[in-house]
Amino acid sequence: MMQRTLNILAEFGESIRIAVAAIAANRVRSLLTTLGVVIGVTFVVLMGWFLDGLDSAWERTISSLGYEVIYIHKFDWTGRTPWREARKRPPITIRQIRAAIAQLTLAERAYPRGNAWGQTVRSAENSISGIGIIGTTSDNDWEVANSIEAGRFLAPIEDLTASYVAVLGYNVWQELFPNQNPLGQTIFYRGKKFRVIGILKKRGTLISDWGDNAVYIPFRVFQLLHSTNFSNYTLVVKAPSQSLLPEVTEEARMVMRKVRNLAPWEPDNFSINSIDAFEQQVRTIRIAIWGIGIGMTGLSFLVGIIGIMNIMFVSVVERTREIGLRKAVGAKRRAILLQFLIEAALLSTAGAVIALLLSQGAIAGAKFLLFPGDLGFTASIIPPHLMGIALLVAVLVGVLAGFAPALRAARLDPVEALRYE
Amino acid sequence: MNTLIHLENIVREYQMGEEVVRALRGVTLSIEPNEYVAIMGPSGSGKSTLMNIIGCLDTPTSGRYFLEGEDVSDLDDNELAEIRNKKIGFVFQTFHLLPRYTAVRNVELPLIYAGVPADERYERAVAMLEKVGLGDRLFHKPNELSGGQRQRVAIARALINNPSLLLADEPTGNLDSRTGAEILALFDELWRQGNTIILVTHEPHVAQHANRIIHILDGQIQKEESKTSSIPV
Ligand SMILES: Nc1ncnc2c1ncn2[C@@H]1O[C@H](COP(=O)(O)OP(=O)(O)OP(=O)(O)O)[C@@H](O)[C@H]1O
Ligand SMILES: [Mg+2]
Repeated sequence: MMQRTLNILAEFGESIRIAVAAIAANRVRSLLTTLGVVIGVTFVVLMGWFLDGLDSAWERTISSLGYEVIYIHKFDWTGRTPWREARKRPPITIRQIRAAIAQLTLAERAYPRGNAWGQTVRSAENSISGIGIIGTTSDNDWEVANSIEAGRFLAPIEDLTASYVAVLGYNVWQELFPNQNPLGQTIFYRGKKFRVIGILKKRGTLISDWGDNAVYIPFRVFQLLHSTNFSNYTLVVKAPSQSLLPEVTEEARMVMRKVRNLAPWEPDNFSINSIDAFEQQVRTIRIAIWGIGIGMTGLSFLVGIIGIMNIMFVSVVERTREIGLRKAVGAKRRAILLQFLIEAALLSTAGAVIALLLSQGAIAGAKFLLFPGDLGFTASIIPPHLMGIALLVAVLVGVLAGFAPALRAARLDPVEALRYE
Repeated sequence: MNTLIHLENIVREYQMGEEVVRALRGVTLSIEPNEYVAIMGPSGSGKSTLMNIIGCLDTPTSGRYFLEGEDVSDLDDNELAEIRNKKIGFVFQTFHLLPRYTAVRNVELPLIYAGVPADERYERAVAMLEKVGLGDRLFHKPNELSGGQRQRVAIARALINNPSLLLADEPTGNLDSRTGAEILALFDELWRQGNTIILVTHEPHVAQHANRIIHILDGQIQKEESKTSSIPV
């Protein structure tokens, strides 16, 4: 038992030395051979890197939209009801929202929200446009619970008294108050002065970075600043838990129908939006990436396996005499098999290492040259688990490719092999 | 004392398409420990075939082969490899050194497959190279050595595992006569130290070093000569 372990250890060490020497002796040939593996591993890594980024972005999206939250709005977020049709719906008024909130019994919280997009705000020195003004109440604090950089979110009293205070998203803060403390400073919106009471961390979500380009102000202030027939109000309803969301949603639907005086046969003239809609889209993107990726990867690995197998067969022929000699001095089949399997695996792993370097280059290039900003959700260094997967796959490909040649080598007749010219 | 090699009616046939080539046609032979045997015969007579069977590189088509009392006629590939590793040292006409390995690494090779730890391998290989007179060429690769030196590396490799049997198929065939003589002197020395040596040759002066000469013709033993001692100068 002990001796057996020693044997295998010695053979293993020898095999690795042989493999390194053999690959080093044929560098160009080895490099070309691993091309398939290089491409395959590059695909796997880039795909995994992108999907990883997608996942973490999705996580952030979920935390800012909320898994157990619905947004009742005139328009549909994902276009299930076309915008052209939704436009004909009567606006959701503040009166309706207040009435609905009063009748909801299952929700953990329900509050109004108004969004005005494409707005411009200024500080004493700077100005930023294309931002979203979000009028809401302190009930909206869950959304930024983990994102307060400094200061605080809106307080209940500030809505009740319509105080001119604002919480700034990351980009707004950066643009308006570069290199200074924004807390307590003044910003201007629609001719009014707002005192900055809080600033937010960078949140950038998958759908867009609206959160970073937003300014939160008390709902009643928002109401005062926008015309009475403003049609963009939203009723936000948060369920006590995700599992209760269906009941809460159903109750909200009924209440909304009632406050909007819909007859039983009439369809809903509002949309109930939730993260669910986006989840479908994310899933579709994932499947598409996987589909393309797996096809390409599979093809590359097939090329890789054939390439390595081919070169290993050549290597076995070239080293027939060496194999004969090794067998003559006592190498068993296992030792020869191991030697060639390890060589194939090492060849493939070398390809994977090259691929990791290439991928890292591609990632750096994509992040800083091609799509600056847009890929903010992705990591800038290949995540360790992807490196692990890449190396594991490479070893597997190598072993698969090396098996037939290694078996042929192991079965060579020593007399024939020694006589081979 | 135990008979080292006992061959009983060994036949080795090769199938060449329709035709059967009979390389050995019933060889019976015994060799005792510390004998120095030369096998002679014309080209194609079956010398190498016999050596391969004695060296457990090949198995007979029929007949029995007992090595140190153990029947090795029907062993499989791996069992034969183990016997070669433990009991047999080979020296080939064309040396068969691994070109990219230093002398030490070449000599270590059998010990790798015996599972000997690296530092012990190294020490033993160095000692063996010193024994064959190559203490100052430890890290030379084959192409940095002369023919005689290469054959010495090969002999060191053959001896590294303390084999019961040293087999040499035309060990001087690729060497000039002076170098060949040096190698033969080394064999003589090894024989005096107690090694059992079988060498194949077709040169009578080489065979004269042995104390027993076996003549092969057409796959059969034709005659034997015995001497009480070999003739080192
Ligand atoms: N693998 C083989 N297939 C077919 N015939 C073979 C094979 N090996 C050897 N032979 C035949 O067996 C006979 C003996 O060959 P062997 O190599 O033993 O001769 P030898 O005495 O060593 O000759 P030489 O002095 O030329 O080395 C020859 O006729 C040879 O052609
Ligand atoms: Mg021969």
